[in-house]
Amino acid sequence: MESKLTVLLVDDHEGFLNSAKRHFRNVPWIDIVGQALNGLEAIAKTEQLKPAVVLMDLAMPEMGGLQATRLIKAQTEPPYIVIASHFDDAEHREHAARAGADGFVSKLNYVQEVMSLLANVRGSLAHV
Amino acid sequence: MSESRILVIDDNATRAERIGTVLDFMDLTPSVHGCVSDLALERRDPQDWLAIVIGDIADESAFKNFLQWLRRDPLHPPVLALPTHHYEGAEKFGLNESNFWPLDYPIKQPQIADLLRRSSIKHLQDAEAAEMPRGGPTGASAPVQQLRRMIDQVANFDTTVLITGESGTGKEVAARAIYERSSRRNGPFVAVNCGAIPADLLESELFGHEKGAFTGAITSRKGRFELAEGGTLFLDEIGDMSMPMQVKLLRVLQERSFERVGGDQTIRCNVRVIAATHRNLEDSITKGSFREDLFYRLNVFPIEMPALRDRREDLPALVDALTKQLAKSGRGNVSLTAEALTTLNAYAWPGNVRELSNLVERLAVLHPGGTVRARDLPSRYRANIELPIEEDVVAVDSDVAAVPPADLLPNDGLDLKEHIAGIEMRLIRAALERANGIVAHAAQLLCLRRTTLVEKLRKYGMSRECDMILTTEA
Repeated sequence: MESKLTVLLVDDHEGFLNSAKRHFRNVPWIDIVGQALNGLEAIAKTEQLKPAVVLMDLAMPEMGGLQATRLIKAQTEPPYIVIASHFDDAEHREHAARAGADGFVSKLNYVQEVMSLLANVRGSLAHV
Repeated sequence: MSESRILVIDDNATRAERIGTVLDFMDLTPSVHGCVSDLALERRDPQDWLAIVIGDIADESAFKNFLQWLRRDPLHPPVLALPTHHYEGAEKFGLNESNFWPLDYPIKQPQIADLLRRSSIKHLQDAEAAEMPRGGPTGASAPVQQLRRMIDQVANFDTTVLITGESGTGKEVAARAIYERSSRRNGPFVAVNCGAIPADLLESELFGHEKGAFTGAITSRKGRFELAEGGTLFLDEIGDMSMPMQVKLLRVLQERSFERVGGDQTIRCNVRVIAATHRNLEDSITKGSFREDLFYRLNVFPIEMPALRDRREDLPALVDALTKQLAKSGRGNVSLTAEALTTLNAYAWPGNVRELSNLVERLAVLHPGGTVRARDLPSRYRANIELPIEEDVVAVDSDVAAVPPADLLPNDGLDLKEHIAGIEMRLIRAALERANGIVAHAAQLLCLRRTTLVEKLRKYGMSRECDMILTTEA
């Protein structure tokens, strides 16, 4: 059996985390290995859990998603990072790319956009 | 969720509730208060909010405290002022006009959506600007001195500059240094990363668009050329620009004018362009992905950024500058042991200064107030593990690569005296470089008397090296 795609969820909104988890539970090839409520926690958990993908909220207290993305990308063999933002325009996408994010999704169309990105990541990992 | 956290202060309960409903409907969880005294300000940071809507004020003295609290943070979120405050609000509240944005009532959805989108961009830009090193490149190595000379040479002419160099070498730092030294320094500095913006959006990003120009263009918008009027436009990753966009850019550079997308009015512009790319544009021309005529337009004054591996002697000064900057902006206080620095010195730095900067920031976050030893570094930075890198280093500085991490005993043992001497020499050399060859200052950095250091220099046969540093500095 092929291995599952391990994912860390990062968002400061418990409600958002719960509904995302409810959705991913029904996807057989996704394994939610953990969650973090801000960027600082995300750095520690990424190092500890070594997920293949981090789904990261853009704006959070303590440390936001862009700073956390930069710092996670400084670790050895960093994961694929997707920034999720309420605002989707050229400027927000540009900031995410500059921070080193591999993908960007709009929170208003989260599930649809995230699922297609994750399917791509899964495909590219299968070819390695 | 702070991007979705909007503070609404309005003593007019009906209006406050309506605004709250609009924001709720936009999924931007508002926090609605009739009076600021409900807020526990001492436990709050202005940055917790993306924007603050201000309407009728219930308690003047509590509101005064609130404003004081807000002004303490120069990068506080923008205030969206309801009509009562439009004309004199900024002055009355003691707020900077640039952070005081009028909001109409009844609420118009496109207006509030655009203001909040801009608040979010401002938040990201402020954070990024706080990170950007000021004052140009750090270090005293020959490549950096040469770089500084070129920046000074070109700054005051309005010529187009093309900055090339590997990713992370600090092309934007150089561009900002040119801008800060130019006569345009009081104008805006606008940066665009052409590679990060989808090709179909780039034209409207650069040149703006008129209302209705395409689906989604609900209002007209200025492009980055217009925003940079009278100042400098930094076009990063120009080598990633599509061929059709290259034609449009060439025209602006030649004619100093353009049209917004969907507009027919020609706009004149007075903007200095600094372009940058990590690609070899001459190769791109051969491959047919970059226009030769545009290349010659841009390549008026080329600057090539040195890779970090070609200026390793700057590493201690860079780490020093980075840790100081982090401490100053309250993002953690960290120091590196000499062994950690030696280990980093043997790494190849494919990501250059940006990689170093991210690493130091990561260390500051993970070891707040602490000292980082070689073994605390992520594994890829511990030199001897990565053999190809070691080879790379041998070519640059055999002295550094030959030595294992200072605190590890190799399997076959080592000559302790020689090993310690090696560490001592490297630190003395680093101190001399940081002190620009001034022995007295280097001695201070090492907590040695000047005479002791002179003696050590003689003992290690380094007196001549010291002279050399002095002459290159001069």
